[in-house]
Amino acid sequence: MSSVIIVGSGVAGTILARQLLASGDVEVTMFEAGPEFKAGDRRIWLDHMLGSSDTYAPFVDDPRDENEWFGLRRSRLLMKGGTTNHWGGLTPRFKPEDFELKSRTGFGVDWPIGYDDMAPFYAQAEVLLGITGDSDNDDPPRYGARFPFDHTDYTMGDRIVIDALESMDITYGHMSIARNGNRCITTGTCDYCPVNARYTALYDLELLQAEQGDWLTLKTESPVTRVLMDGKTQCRGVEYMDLKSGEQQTLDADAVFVCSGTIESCKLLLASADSDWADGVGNDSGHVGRHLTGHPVMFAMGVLPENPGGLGEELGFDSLISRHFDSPEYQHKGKMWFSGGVGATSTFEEQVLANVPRAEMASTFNSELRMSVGGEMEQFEHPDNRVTLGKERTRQGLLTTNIEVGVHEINLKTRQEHIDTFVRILKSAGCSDAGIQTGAFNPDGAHASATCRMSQSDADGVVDPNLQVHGTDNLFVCSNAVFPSIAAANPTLTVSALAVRLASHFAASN
Amino acid sequence: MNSEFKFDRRKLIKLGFSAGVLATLPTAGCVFADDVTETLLQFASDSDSPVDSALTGSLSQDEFDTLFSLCEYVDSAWSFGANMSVYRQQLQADLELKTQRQPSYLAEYRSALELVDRVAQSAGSGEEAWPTLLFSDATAEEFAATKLGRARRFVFAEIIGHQIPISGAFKSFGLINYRGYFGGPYALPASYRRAEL
Repeated sequence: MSSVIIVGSGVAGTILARQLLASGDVEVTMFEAGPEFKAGDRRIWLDHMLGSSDTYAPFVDDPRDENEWFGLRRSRLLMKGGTTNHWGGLTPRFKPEDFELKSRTGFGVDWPIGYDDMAPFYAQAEVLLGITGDSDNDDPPRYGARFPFDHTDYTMGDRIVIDALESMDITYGHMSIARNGNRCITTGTCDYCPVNARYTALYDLELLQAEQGDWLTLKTESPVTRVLMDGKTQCRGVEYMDLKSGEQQTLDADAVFVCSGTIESCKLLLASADSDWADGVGNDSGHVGRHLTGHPVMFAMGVLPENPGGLGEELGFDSLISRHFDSPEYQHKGKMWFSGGVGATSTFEEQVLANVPRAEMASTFNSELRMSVGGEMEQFEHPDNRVTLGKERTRQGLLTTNIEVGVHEINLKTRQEHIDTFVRILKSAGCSDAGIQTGAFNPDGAHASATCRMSQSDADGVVDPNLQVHGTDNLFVCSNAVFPSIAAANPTLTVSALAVRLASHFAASN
Repeated sequence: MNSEFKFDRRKLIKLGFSAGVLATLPTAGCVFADDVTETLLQFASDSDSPVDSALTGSLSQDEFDTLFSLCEYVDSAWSFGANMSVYRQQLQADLELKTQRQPSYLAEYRSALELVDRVAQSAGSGEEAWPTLLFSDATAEEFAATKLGRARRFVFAEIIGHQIPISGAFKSFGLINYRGYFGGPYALPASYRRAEL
C-alpha cells in the first residue's frame, strides 16, 4: 500500500482523493488549513437564507492579503471543501482553441496537451460533479459523451433575454451547471444548498469519509508550511502546523499532491526552498508564482418598465449561457461568455417591513422588472504578474501573500467593448438608457490561475503534462495553478478533469 | 408627562385594519407613557451577533404563540391567505433550531417578547402592538443598538423573512417559486414556474 498526502480539501484535492482511493491500494492523508464545516444543515441554511449571519465570513482571507488589482478576500474560502462552498456551480468546458493561445494570438503560451487529450476526462468529471447540461450541444465537441442529468427548459425570465439575443443574432444555449438534476429543489439559496444538490467538495468529502474512512484521514486547521525534500528529486513528506495544539509536525508519504489553489500552491513551493532548491521547489527556471491571471467580471443592469407576466427570479442561478463571444474570432483580444436574467426589484419581505400596502406592492411587482447581463472574459498573463511570499502569518497559519499585477491595454479595451454589448442587449430588451448601470470587477482569487504552469520542459514552466513538478520524482501540483492560460470559461470543470487525469496517470504508473 | 411615539395611521388604514382596531388608536399617532418609550429605546447591545448566544433552551408555548401572532398579523394585514396551521409547525421547529443551537437567539427572542408585552399593555391588546413595534418612527441615538432596534433586526425581520417563503405567502401574487421556498425539482420546470404565458 502506498501513502499519499493531499494538501488542500477543495475540489481538486477531493476528486483526486476519490479517484486515487477508487483505483488502488492507497492511503490518503489530506491537510486543510481551514476548519471543519457541515453540509446540508437546516440551522446553517436558516441563518444563510435569513441573512442572520455572513455564512462564510469566518473562512475568508486575512485582510492583509487584499490587493486592489487582484483581490483574495471573499473570493476564495479557506475551510473544509474550499471555495466550492460558495461557488456558482457553472461548469463550461474550455474550447479547443483555448489550448493554443500562443499559436493563435501571440500572447502567453500553448498548453502542452490539447482539447482531445482532455475530452474523456471532461466527461468523467461531468459525472463526478453531477452536472446538468445539453448533451446535444457540440460546441465544444462532446464526442458522444452524455451529461449525467439533462438540461431543463429555459426559465420564463430567460425568454426575455433570449428575445433580445435573437434580435441581435447572438447565439445562446443551456448553461452546464453542477446541480444534481434529481435533487435540486430550486430554492435559490445556492450558496448554501439545503439538500446538497449543488456540488461541493465539502459534501463530497463527507460522503468519501463515510465510504473510505479507514483509508482517508482529514486534518483540518492544519496548514502545510513546507514540502520536505530528500535531495533534489525525492519528496519525503510535509511539515505542518496543528493549529489546535500549536505544534509543528511532519508527516512522510510516498507521494505529495499540492492541491491548494493557485495562490497557496505556488507559495508552498516557494516556502519550501532548501539547499537543493535555493529559490523554491520546482523554481530553478523562475516560473513559480509567475504568470498569475484570472477573470475580470463585467456586468450591466437595467429595469424593464413592465412585468406583465408577474415574473420573478425562478431559480436563483444561471440557466442560460451565450458563448457567442467565446470563440476563435475574439480570442486575440479577450474571449467572453455571459448570462442574463430577470428578477423583482425588491422582495416581499422588504416591502412588508417598509409598510407598503398590498395594493401598492402588487402594482410595483407588475410594473417593473430588473434585468441583468454579466459575464467573464479571458485576461492574458502579463510580465509583471507574480505572487511572492509575505513575512507574516495569517490567522489560518499561512504566510501572507504579495501580489503584483499588470494588465494589457487590449484586455482593458475589450472589457469595455463587452460591457457595451451588454448595454445593447438591455436596450434591445426594452430597458431605458436612464436606468442602466454598468461595471466591472478585476480578477480575483476565485478563478486565479497559472502560477505553476504546465509545460513540456522545466525551462517554460513548473509541472510536466502529468502535473509532476519538473525535476522531482513524486511531487505533483493539481490546481488552477497548472493552467498555462485561463480561457474565458470557469475553471472548476477543467481542474476537476485534470484531477481525474492525474489519478489515472498515478494509478497506471505506481 | 407623556412622549410621542409615532407611526402612520393612514398606512394602517391602507393595510385594511379593522375599524375596531383603528377606533382604539389616537389619530395623530401613538402616545406612550415615558416608561414604555424608555423600555423600547433602552440600550441593549451593539453586537452583530445575538446577545447571550451561548444561552440555549426552548421557548415556552406561550412565548412561541406570541411570536407566531406576528405572522398572523402579517398574513392578515397583507391578505396573504397562507395555510397558517401548517406554517405554524414549521416555524416552531425552526425557532427551536435557533434557540437550541449556538449562536442561540433565545435571549433576543425573550427581550423582544418583553417589548411586545409592554407595548400590548399600553396599547390595550396584542393585535395593536405589532404595527407599533414594526413601523413606528423611533428617534434615538444608535437606534439599532436599542432593545427595539435589535428586536426588529434579530426577531421581527427574520421571522417575516421566514414567513414569506416558507408559508407560501408569495403565492398570493401568482408566483410559484421564491427564494427560500422549496420550489420543486429542477428537472420538472412546471413545479417552480408560473403557467406559460
